[in-house]
Amino acid sequence: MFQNVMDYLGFGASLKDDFDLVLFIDKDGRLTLREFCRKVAAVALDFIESGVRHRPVAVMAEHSADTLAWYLGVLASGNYYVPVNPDIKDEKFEKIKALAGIDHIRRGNIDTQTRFPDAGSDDELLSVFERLQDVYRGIPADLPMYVIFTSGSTGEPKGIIKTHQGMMSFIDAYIQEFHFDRDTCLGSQTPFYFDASAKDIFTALKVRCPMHILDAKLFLTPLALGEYIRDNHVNTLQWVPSALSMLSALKVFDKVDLTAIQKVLFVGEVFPPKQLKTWMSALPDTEFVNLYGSSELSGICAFYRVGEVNEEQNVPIGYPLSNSRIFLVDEGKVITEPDAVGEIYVLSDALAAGYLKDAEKTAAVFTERPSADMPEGIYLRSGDLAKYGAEHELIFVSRRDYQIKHMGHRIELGEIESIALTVPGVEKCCCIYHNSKIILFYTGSIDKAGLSRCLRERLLSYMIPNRLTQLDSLPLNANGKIDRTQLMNQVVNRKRI
Amino acid sequence: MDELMEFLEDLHPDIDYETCDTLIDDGILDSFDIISIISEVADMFDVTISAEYIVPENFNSAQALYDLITYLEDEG
Repeated sequence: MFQNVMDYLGFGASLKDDFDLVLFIDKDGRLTLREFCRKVAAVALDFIESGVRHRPVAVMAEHSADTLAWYLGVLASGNYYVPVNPDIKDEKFEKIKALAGIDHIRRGNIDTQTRFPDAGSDDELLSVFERLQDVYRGIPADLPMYVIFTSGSTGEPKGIIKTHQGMMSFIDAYIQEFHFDRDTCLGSQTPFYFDASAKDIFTALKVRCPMHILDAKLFLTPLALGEYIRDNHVNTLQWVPSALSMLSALKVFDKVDLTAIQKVLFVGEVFPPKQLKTWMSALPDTEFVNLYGSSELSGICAFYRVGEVNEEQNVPIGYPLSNSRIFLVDEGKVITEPDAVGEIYVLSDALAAGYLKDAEKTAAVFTERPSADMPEGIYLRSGDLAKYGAEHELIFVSRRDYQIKHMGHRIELGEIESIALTVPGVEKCCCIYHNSKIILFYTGSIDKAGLSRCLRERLLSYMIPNRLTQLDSLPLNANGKIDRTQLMNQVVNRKRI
Repeated sequence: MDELMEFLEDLHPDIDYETCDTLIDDGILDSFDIISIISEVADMFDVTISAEYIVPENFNSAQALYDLITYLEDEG
């Protein structure tokens, strides 16, 4: 039983046999395990020598192998990392730094020359890791592995504390279920500041298989992306459906043979059935799996192997991963019969340790069992409503609140509203989500171009509304609140607004 | 062209599409925008922009995009 992910991943004497394996490939080239370890060691030794221990370290997470070396170097020195989008707005980053108590920030390339002039010998590198072992094995049991920030409904960032135990439990179950091994070749699309990237990163590190860190620019030229995948023998994609849909919608399969892809695991949002069907008929021997997870646990907790696409219905959430149990609960009763809707509760070894400095929210989401018919333990209350299908597979119904999944990102519509309200000239506003578009209705004196400029300064690109609509007044419901339903009806009944 | 301009302005109201010819090179349009444009063009003009045409030259300016659509319409 390992206590620490570094131990679990074998960052000790066993490295030597695998030093020559190519582990990460990014736009700067190919990195063997040896070269990666050198970077990890250089990072870790710097922290240790400056006396930084048990501290959070923000890493500006570019899509590069060095970001991963920063992560592991932070862990190897007995610290924990906080992934940050390199494009983060200053104001939000200040809030995160204050909340997490961050006073160390790292980014960019890692210099190994100073530490290992002329590369140094393998034995020297191994002896460094022997020393590091003593450091990372000595961390307090409750020290996080990393803290990931997501946006809260009020626009205040919230930090989720991810644990070493959770990651190890997840990776074990995940590798066992999907048979990842040294023949696996990953193509990483998910940005490393996004929690879903842990599936790629820690699968590659655990099985020591190659992972191509795909340049975001490739996603602007689908044909080149397809050719890259084919020419580099990438056989496993764990992407968001919007990235996958790009290849199918643009008929890349007609031009590039991608049948060597063995597994397509998708997560984060609904895969449009038409696009999924295109994928499945182009790659008839490939395994397609819908994954279901949450930032409040490591990795995923349920999956569904897609046999046939039913265009009438979204792909099911499916069945629990072996380290998790899932219950549907409605008003204190456990649901087992088909078609009744309940909220998903997850019992798992991989649950996060809670929200950073927010005991109230932690208690609301990580709760005792809501029904005596369930085993005792701490449950994740997911906020997702679901039902059982005929094969006892879980089927997603809706969110309990106004949180949406857009382009693979989890977004609180309330956050967009609260930021729009900070723009001078905006009086009231309301955000709705329809047909994969974020639509912001507002009243006030500012015109659309002016508001758009201001929102671009204040919001990350994936949160920027796709449409802005200025109104003289917003409809109110009987309680005097903005009537979302009426706005939604307006959108649904008129194609262009 | 007007309809296309209106859609592009909705996408990024702060960009002057009359003059800007570095929509891709300067990172103004991202991959999400490209997908929006392709699906909107399909609805608006009944034209499918297939993968081999999705290269920076065809998306760097509104005029280049319009020329591409016209070319594909004639091909069609």
